Amino acid sequence: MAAEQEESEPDYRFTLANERTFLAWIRTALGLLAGGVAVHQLVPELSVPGARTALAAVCVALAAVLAGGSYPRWRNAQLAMRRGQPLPRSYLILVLACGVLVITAFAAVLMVTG
Amino acid sequence: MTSQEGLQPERTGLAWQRTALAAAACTLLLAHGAAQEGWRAATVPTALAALGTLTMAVIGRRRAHALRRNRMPGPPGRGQTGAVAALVLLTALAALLTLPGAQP
Repeated sequence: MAAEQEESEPDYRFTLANERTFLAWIRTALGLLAGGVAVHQLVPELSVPGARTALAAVCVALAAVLAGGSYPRWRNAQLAMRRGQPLPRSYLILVLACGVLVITAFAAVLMVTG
Repeated sequence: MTSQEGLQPERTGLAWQRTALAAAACTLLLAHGAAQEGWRAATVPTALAALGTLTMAVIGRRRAHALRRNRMPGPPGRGQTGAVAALVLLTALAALLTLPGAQP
């Protein structure tokens, strides 16, 4: 139907909310990046060789995934709002939750084993 | 309700500022590490982070000005959001590649 493909700019409040959500994802990525660098610089070398670097690498890798995924997410949400369609599903939240869980479990194991 | 609507552009402008500040903190941390290691492998992510911070500060400032002027602000340009996401992604990838190399 032609009515479904019509595009019009949504209420600017929704546009700005989408923009702020994008910026929040970018900040989360920057926070993880800083966390990874801090782990590498400030944590003393652990008994398992290379474990500190691996933990830092997981943090920075998750930051890269979030930064890479934040732009398509913003664009798809903007497009859906312009077309009056429901917002698309995004796996970014699941990736973030699983990633932080992995990092936390990893850090807990390292702390116990020293 | 009217005052609530009027605060939206201000909140968005502040969100840009916060993001630029987070990028600046990240740059300082990378620069700290690079200085300790003698500016070898860590130079590339530090330079990218500095470029990213500068870009975010400039884009955020322009966006905040545009939001203050327009009563019905449209979305930011694709180039703006894309550039911000790409710079953070590139910085993370550069940091990731130099992590093993930074190990003494």
